[in-house]
Amino acid sequence: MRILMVSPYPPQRDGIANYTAQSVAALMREGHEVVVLSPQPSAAHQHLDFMAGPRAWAAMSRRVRGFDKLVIQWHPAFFYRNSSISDRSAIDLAMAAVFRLVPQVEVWVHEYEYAEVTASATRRRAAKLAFSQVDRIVFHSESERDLFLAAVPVDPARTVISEHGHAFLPRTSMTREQARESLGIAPDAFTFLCIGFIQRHKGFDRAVRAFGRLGPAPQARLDVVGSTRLEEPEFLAYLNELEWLTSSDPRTTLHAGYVSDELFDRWILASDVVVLPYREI
Amino acid sequence: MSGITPDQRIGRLGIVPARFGPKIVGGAEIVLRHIAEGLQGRGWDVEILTTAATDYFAWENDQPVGVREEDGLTVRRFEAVKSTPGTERSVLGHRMLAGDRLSLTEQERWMNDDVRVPDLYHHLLLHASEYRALVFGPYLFWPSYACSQVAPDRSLLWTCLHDEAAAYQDIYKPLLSGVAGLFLQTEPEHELAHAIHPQLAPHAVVGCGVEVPESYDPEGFRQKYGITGPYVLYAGRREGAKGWDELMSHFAHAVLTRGLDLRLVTMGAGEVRPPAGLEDRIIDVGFLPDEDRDDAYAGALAYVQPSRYEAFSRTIMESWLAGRPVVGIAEGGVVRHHVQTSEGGFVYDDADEFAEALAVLVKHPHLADEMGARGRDYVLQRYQWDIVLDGIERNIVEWTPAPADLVPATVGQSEGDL
Repeated sequence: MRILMVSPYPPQRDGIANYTAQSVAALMREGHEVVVLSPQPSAAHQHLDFMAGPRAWAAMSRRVRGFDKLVIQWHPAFFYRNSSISDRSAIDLAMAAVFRLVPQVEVWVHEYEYAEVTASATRRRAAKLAFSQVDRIVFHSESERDLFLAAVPVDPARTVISEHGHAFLPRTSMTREQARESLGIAPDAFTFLCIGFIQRHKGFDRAVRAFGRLGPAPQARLDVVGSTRLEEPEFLAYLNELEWLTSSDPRTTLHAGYVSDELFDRWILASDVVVLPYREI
Repeated sequence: MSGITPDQRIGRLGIVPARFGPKIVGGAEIVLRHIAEGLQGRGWDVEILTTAATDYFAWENDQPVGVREEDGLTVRRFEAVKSTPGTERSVLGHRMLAGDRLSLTEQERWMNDDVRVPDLYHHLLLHASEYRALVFGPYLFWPSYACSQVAPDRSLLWTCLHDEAAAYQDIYKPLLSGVAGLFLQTEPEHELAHAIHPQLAPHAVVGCGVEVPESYDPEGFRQKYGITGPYVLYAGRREGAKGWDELMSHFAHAVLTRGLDLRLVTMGAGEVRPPAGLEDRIIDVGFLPDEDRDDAYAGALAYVQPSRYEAFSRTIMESWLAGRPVVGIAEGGVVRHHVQTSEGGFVYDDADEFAEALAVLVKHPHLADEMGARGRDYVLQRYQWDIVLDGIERNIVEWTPAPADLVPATVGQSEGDL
């Protein structure tokens, strides 16, 4: 099968990019011919600037020709250039037109703007029109699927929950001891870890505050590891807040900076507990 | 001797230069080619993974994509893709050079607005496990940056780290801290790597090999290229980053203020643009065949090295092998390290010191000969390919496990197992 995969892609630092690369490898091993198209130049075969809005989808209508299947890794930030309801609705309609051109369409929903779609009848209609053209909508959890279906009422039979881990590839071959040594973590330390993009909805501040109430636990440490997805005031303000919070307890450390897939895996391997204090997921 | 036995040379090695071919001039590309040839000669299964492009500037795919034998090596070529205008890279690159801090997103855009090799990335995504080790280099290029992260536990880097703005960008941290091993060429490069990245991946200073010519014919070179009188030599790209403009300025200062009867002979690429009044003193001989190149070194009073950004500086080794001293820039560290360790020449910090060094060599030719001889000994003791390959294969064996399915049953078994 000829598959066009649309997603951010390595070497861009992005969990979805990494996830897609592993999925692409799995599909290729199954014998499919996969062409990857990313919003930015990357290791993908093609790139297309989706910030051009509906015009980008006009270009997509040419790019999808000859493919048996279109797979989209969905995150609003990849496809919408602003928060205007009319602009987003126009993009949804343009997408719907492209979806009609391909025999099979599959969308993996990593994040969705439920509140916005629920609040706007226009947006809701446009989103419904677009997603009605999708043959298979994949979610990471039941709750995500339920929220989506409440906002965009499409045929539930077209939705599935993904099987996690089937294509995961470990990126480090270090032992736990080696990983700890390389990261400067003492062998007898008990390490709590928050890792990922630094943004408020991940709630890393909640972990730091909770850790502060742990009381005397000299071997315990909390490491917050990641970078901001964008250098915008909202993200930088949250980074500053985390810097301030972690600096007030010597057992907590913020490691702000580039986290490769390998380094991500190494931190996970070195930790005792991965903390997920997310406000939203 | 490396101490590595034939039964330890197990598993395929992928050597990954950005370009490959007999006419490639880039330093790291030449070195990776020699490494590939040398390791194959020692019994390793070697494959070159590279682009179909050979021109550094145009990146046109002038070679066929696919696998074929080239000069005794298996070469797997992938399409080089340059689908962006490079404008953003240029703007961000200038900001980087000016000392601006680029955000991670900007660094990524700077990296990806250049030549990319998606099919190499996907080849490794599917087949990295078929290689025991993948040797990338230099650190700066997209294939090293992007493709070494596909299988970092089997990726090694022929690092070529320079004290330049790019080296300090955060996007390179995973490369320098997360691969299976780093090959470094000199102690200054080693110190720089530690200074930039405290949590460095496993690493070793293995040097770099230089071929030793069997003989030299300096007079033949003079006759062939019509060069009369004493000259100093510069070999390399004539561009600002290599210190070319500063060299011409220093040379003008030296010959005009000291009245030195000297010419500056230069070989390589790039516009020469001699200063007014020195047009007849600066002689461009263009690209030279290897034997003429060696003879050019042998005929020079000294070799001048104005480049601050050297990871090894192959040309000063070639000069020393020809028995000629080196006058090299102190800033940057690598050239100074070689010159001071070998006592094979002078280093300079400014135009006056440069002029003084040339004046001493003009006035005391026996001193120039002695320095050149010391330099030759230095190269022969440290930088012959056999010595360098010993270090490389020792570290490949140490840093990357042999593929379990290829290890002979007797390896690792105790007598009781037999």
